[in-house]
Amino acid sequence: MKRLLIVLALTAAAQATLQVNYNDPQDKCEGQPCAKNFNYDEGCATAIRNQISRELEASFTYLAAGAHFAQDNVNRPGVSKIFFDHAKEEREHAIKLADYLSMRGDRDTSYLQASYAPLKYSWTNVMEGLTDALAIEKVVTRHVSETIDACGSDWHAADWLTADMLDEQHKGSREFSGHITKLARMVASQPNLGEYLFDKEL
Amino acid sequence: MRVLLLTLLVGGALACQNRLDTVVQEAIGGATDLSTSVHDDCNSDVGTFLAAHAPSYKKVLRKSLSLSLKYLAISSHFGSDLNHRLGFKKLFREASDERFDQAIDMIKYVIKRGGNVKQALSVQVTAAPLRPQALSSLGLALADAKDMYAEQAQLHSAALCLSPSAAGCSVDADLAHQSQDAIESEVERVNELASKANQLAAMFTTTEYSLAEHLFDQHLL
Repeated sequence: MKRLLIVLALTAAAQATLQVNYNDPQDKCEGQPCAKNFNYDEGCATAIRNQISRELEASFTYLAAGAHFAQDNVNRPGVSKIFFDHAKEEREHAIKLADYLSMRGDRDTSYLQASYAPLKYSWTNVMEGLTDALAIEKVVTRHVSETIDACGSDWHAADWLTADMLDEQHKGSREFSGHITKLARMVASQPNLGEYLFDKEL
Repeated sequence: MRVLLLTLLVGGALACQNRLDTVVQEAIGGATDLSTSVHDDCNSDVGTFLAAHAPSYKKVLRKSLSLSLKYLAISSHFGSDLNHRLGFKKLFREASDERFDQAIDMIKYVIKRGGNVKQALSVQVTAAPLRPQALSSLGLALADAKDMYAEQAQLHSAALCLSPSAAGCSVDADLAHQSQDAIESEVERVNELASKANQLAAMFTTTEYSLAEHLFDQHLL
């Protein structure tokens, strides 16, 4: 019992006290209460804001693709739906990024560009559409990776971008890559029939 | 005139049948120069939407996309720790979602009528900072809703040749029907926003408004 009391007393003495600095200049709050902390990096926040616009640009291109493959002279409703779904998904990515910035205390909501437009409006066939989509996913993935680099000193941002955003990007790339492989087999001898069946199976 | 239109309509339909018959015959005959491009004769173009109304319709489509982007930024503005009006954040996030879905529906309508959206998805965003006060933001959204109502009403009026400058106008019944549905949605939005604006403004006093704004914001959640 005596030994237990001694151990408890020593433990209590060893506890470090919490040192609170109520106006820590490293918090980047300029003397006012704010959600930013010492880890918040303006360069990282700027990179994330730029990424928001890239996601929206991708969304616009997928809208154009969804429209193209729904045209009466193309009529690939399954492929069209994939692209419209991806348009919504890219927009959701942009929203996630905006919400992350807000959570970290960013107050600069001027992340929109002056204008947005699709990269293309028409495609020769489904293969070209899917190939372009894969290229778009990869370039967005590259930009996410560059954003992670820009957030090197903000571990939480880098970790969140890696776990949430990169994960989505890799899944998107895998999805389109799989579609391309499958379509290539189906259109080898009869392109139009193969494309028709591919679309039906979606 | 009606006989002429009917003749053109029937003739147009026969053109597609004739074209498809040609495809069948060429395929049976093993023609080496078989052409399966039949869109010129077999297409979804019916009525006067493409010829007379598509450009105006696409202009409204672009506005819808632009509003979707604008409300996204305003939503973020209210969601920042500096404002922390989470009810207003939700209001504008949902408004952004609605305008985006509306834009997709409009894209699908253009396609359904036999058109395309080439160059129709190029959208400008306002350069002004989107950081309104809570009460003012309701006025901003209300103005947008009334503007969109006016645009849809213009489409509806043009589709029915109701406007004063109806010379050379072309009636399109389906566009009139479609824009009528859109008008109903805009009327609901206008009413909802106007009601909210009046309700919140009424709670402002010369000495206090922040608590009213807070409670109103909470009830938006």
